[in-house]
Amino acid sequence: MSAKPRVAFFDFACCEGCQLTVLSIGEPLIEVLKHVDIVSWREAMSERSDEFDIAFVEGSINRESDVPRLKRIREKAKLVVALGSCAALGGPHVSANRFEPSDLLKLAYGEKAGNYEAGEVRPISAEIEVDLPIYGCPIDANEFVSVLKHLLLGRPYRVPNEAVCYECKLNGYECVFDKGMVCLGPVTRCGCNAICTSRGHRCFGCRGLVDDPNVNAARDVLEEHGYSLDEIIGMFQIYSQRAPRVQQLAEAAAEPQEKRSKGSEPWRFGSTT
Amino acid sequence: MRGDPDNGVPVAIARVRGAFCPQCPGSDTAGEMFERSERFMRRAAVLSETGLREVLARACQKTRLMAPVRRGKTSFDFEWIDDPDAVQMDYVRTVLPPKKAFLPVREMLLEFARGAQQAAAPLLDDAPFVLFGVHPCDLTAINQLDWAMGKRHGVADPHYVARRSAALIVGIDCMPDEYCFCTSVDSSDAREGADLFLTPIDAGYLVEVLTDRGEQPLAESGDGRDATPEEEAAPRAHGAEKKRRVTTRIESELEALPDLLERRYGAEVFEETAARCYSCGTCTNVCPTCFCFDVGDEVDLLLASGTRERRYDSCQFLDFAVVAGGHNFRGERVDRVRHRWFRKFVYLLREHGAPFCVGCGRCSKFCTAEIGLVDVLNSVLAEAKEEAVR
Repeated sequence: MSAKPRVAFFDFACCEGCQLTVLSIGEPLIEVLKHVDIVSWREAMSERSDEFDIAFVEGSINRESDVPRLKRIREKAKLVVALGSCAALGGPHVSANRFEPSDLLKLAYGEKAGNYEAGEVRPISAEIEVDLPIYGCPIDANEFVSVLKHLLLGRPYRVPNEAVCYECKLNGYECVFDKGMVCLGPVTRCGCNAICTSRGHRCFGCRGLVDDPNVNAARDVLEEHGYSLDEIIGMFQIYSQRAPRVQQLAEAAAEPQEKRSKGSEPWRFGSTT
Repeated sequence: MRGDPDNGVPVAIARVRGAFCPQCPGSDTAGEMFERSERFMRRAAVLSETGLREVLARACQKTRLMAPVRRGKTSFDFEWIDDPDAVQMDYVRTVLPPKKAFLPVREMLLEFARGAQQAAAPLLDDAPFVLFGVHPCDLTAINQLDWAMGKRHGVADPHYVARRSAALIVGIDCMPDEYCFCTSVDSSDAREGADLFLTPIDAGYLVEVLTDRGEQPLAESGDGRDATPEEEAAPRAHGAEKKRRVTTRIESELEALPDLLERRYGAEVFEETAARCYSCGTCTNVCPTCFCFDVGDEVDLLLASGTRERRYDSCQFLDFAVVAGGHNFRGERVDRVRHRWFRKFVYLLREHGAPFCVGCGRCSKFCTAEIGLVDVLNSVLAEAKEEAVR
């Protein structure tokens, strides 16, 4: 290993928006990059090298032919960081998993479908060991810089495990529910500084669910706000299709109506008076 | 590093920190840090609406002003403001309580250099400011925090004390909505902690002058005049009307709560609440009496120096009670849920003699799962009563 850690960026199935976020950091990025050598980054430079210490990998895996390349990255790198929700969770295109890959290929490419390859969309952690995830669609620039500093100092980075409500409340924003909308903030991992709710949107859950999310409570509350179970599952599946609790919900919904089990009955308050 | 002294270890940390903190003002005394107002006014004046806005404008110019402003269609928040016209006189509750004037949501504690030989000095913000528009419930909460961050362990938190000592607090009376239950926790007519207290009257505002510090803004204003005896009666009448309008009640005497709750430790309502609870921490983060925090370091871009930051934490978070070695004392949601009620109405009530709840209704209002603090409490009490009958 040279004096400076060698850093490389790679991408698989993604929009490259997370790498663009890194590039858009600007001056602070230049400062912190003085401590590393970037040896490979297709998005940003023409030089390349196969010798690196830290690999930032963006994108999910949806072609078998990508797996050997991903495994080679793992073998070469001392640390693999999943850059963004595609690499860390599978990304929004996990919704493709609800369909037959061959049907989707036909839909997209028609007669030329045979020229292309598609399979189950999955995070890179489905194929290799990942040392650290950076969630977000796209990632938060500040979190990327913070992660890089932690890696350079050899300090453990604590992935935020609070709900978006935490950062939303600390900023004093009006609750999305109070605006007559619904929101995935209560069960979604924070770290974004509640950027969407600060701009009048709801939380779409792009950073995935917190550890031990109460998906049943979310379902109850969303149903009380007039959403059907299928709509609720659809909301969750955009980013968290592969989360076990969401899969359980989807399995329950696939049952015939009369057999559908409810994880928890909505419990109304004020019943004691 | 966690700041919840009920987790055992941090109490010791707090004591050690005090011993190592000779530069912390007030850490040795930790006694009466602030001028205390009495429950009843020393004199009363009348300010017109214009006169009050002028007082606020002077506060903006001379010092700093934190006051409630409108944030959304239905929401308000305390903010540092430059424009006295933005101050919202009439509001039910803010999202975050005014404790953020003394305990900011994110706060720089100190700056350090890597490899430095000397201990870093605490960063203290003692620039004077006016905290305007505090309701009686939130005043009560400020008094609770003064104890928790001040006297409780014999060592005062220097960052809190610096801001708290620099504040001139102006209270204002309010009318309740369906979430308020100040009358159940004896906070509806609180004055302690305020330097001035306002009650809206026809002529503008009846101003109760409660401390020497409170005289200053009035002395500078040409608008204030002495109140007539009828006007002096306004706060009492306003307070009585407020009490009449409160609809939410805790169905028990406060003193009885610790024993009743402990007897119902396994109450079913905690399980039912946990089935409904996200553990998002909103209830504690908007609570005016909660004071648990987390501390973390962030280094600068050159990796040479850094800052230590304190931010709000919550006993409702999954990781809150994780200790070295990885054990989680409250890894089950129901244990975290129960802890909130026990902390407010058992542990701290016993220790401090008053509940760590002031009836502001924020936790219930801002819970997206509509978990009601009083509803749960009354359910436990109902269970306890049923058991007593049996």
